[in-house]
Amino acid sequence: MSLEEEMQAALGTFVVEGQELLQELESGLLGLEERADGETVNALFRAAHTIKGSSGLFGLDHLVRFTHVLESVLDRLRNDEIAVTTVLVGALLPCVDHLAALMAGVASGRTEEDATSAAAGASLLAALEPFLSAPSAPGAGHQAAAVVVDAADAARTSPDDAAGPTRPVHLSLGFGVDCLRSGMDPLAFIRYLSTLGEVTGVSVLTGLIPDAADVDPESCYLDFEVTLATDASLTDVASVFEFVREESRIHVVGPESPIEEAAELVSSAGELVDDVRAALVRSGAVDPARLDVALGRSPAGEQEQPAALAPSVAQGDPSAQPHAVPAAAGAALVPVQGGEPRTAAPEPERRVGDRRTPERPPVVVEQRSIRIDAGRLDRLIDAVGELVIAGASAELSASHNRDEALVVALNEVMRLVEEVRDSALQLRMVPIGTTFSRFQRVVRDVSADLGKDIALVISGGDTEVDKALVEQIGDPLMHLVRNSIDHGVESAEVRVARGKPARGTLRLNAFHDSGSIVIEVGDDGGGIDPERVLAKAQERGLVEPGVPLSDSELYGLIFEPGFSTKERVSDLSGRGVGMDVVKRNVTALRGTIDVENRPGEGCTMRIRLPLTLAIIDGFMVIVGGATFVVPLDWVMECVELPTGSEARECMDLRGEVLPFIRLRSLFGIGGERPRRENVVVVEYAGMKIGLVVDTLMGEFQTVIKPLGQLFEHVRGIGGSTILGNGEVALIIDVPMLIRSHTDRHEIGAGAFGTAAPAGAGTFAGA
Amino acid sequence: MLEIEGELTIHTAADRRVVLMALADAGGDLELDLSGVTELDTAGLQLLLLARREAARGGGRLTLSAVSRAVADVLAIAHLDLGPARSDDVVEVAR
Repeated sequence: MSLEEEMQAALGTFVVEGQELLQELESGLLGLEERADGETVNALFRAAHTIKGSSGLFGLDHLVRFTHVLESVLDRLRNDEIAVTTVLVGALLPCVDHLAALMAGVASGRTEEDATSAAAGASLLAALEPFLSAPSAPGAGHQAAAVVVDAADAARTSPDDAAGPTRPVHLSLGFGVDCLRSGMDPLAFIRYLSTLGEVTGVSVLTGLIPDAADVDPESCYLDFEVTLATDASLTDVASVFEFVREESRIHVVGPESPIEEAAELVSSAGELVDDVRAALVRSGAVDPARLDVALGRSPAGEQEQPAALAPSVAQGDPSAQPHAVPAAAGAALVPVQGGEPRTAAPEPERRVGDRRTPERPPVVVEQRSIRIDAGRLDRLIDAVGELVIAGASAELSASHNRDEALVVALNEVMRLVEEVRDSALQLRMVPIGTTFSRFQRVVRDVSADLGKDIALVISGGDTEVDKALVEQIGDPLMHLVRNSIDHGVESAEVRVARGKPARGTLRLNAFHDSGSIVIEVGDDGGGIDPERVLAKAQERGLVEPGVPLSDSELYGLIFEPGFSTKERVSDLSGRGVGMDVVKRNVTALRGTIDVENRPGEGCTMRIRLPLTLAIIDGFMVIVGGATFVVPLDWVMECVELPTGSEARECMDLRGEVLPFIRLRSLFGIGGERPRRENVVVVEYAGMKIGLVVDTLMGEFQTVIKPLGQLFEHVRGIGGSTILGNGEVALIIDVPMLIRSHTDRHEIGAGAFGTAAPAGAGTFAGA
Repeated sequence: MLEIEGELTIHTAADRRVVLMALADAGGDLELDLSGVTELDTAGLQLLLLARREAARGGGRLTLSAVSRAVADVLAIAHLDLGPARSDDVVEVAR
């Protein structure tokens, strides 16, 4: 990986982590009014601080500037200088949104601020001004910000810099005690480093030199902390120490290193831990706040300032000169960094006191999760899925050949393969709670806009769902939540008049139910008025007057395009878009949605989704030379096509009229019709339809592969899969087929008459 | 004032240590003239730092009245600024 790519990758990680931190910030702020304890406030401050620090490392000055103000406000909150108020939270939340927008900008390559967002940012910061009135707190903060930006300047990578980006790389060199005797001179290594870049800082740590009487002058007791401004990769830098690696403690970290490595660097320094940390922070190669988090320390603003890093200066001698050298054992020499002397500011009293307190052990936080590129995971799941298929076909041929031993062996293999598949799928599972908690904000904002008082109750947040699903369910849920707030829950006056508590309740719930995940959005509002739904549907011509409808049919109408019973159009919902989009999105995820309505008491929308999108149970059928897979979820039964149906479009299924689609003509497949044809009866949204095929092959587990862009718009096909023998089978998109079929009959009742569709072309246009 | 000449390296470190420690133990300020030092390595540097620490423990301070080019080079590599220089070739170690 080139350095440019490394930086890009690091920037990607920054964005992902930044977004997570912003989410933390948001949920923290939302919970603040109820629980403003020190821990929550601290967490908020840390999140803002880390965003600022990391932004600085990437030279994202606009992010640093903005976050700095946010951080200052949180700092004042932390120090109890200001109190938690609705106004404060209301001012801070849009700032988080603004940061999220800036972060999204960074993700799409905008590392500078444009005028619009600068103006937006300025007005947001102006709103924070009242909380910053006392000048003292921001003063200290400014200094910290300046330092971070300094480091960022050194680390900055500008794309038009032809010489390649350089950034500070920190080397912690604890050479083995015998290195001098074996002819390895640390100074020679440091001298050599200058061929890789500019050595901008060296600290010689003398803390390990024993008492004079115990000193063996041929042993090496010195540790060197070196800062190198270089464009070389960390591997290249580390390779300088190839020969001494075994007996030495050599660490190389740069801004791109995982913070855990930096933490390891510090915590492995034994007695020198404080000095090594100080040198590392000074190098600018890591963000101090994140380092402290990784070290399990509580970050305190002043600790990371280089100014405070001459720990012994204030210890006694008041005549200490700027370049004073601490005499105390274990103290570092004051280094000169890149010829730019750092002034040693008077150090706060308490730091002297707590510097060596034993209750700050250098604990590295155990790394409990790793970040994996979703693409890699998908490839794994893909491969495992194919393994399942290949295994199934091996099993088939083994039983074909009546090889009992092989069948038994394959059974075991299949059991293991399925276990592997399950754990692979498990990897993609994430708790849905994160998605749910986003709605705290929505409920708060939307209900405030509408002047309603609504509490959000979340349950089942730890229910795990496929990551891809979580990402795609957000929008439909958003519609449902807004719809509930807008149309479901009544205003406080109405509620009180109806004898309900003034505060409305919105419930988000999730649970697993026989291989599906069920997500419920419920409210205790007025529910849906069936009369009005019916009236509206008749007005829109969706149902004929006098036709009896079942409850599910009736409530299913609200998911029809353009259907809204609300007379008043608010800017949130009620425009008649939304519910049909919800339905479409849920259907696209192979899910279903139904409504449980209790008129006057509330309404619950229930979305049922498959646990994973990657693998489905399918029913394999053959038409001519082509193989198709019908997702088993939709398959009701299979029957033989009655003879004499050639010219017809429907058949008699136990007294019911069953319309059918001939896949042969639908997809323009040639070849002779077999003497006997079969019908796969599928049902979707209460509509039954038959698919006429040549041969039924039976159940079959399938890995869904998306169709290429070219076929994206082919309707009726939902994806493809590869069969055990290497052939490709197309997966039938049943909901789409049924919808198209009914549409065609409704729209083109006159024009098309009873003409059977001629081929895929007709279908795509339907 | 002690003049050190020749190598100040791992090869001479054992001998130099005896002299330096004796001086440091005597207490008071320790002034070194390193203008005659032809070579300085990590062992030598370590010895200087040790002498400085011991001098400080005895209440005195180590000063370098003069340094050779070899010594100046090493101090530069190690970014050891041993106090403000009085003149071009004099470096002081302050406490």
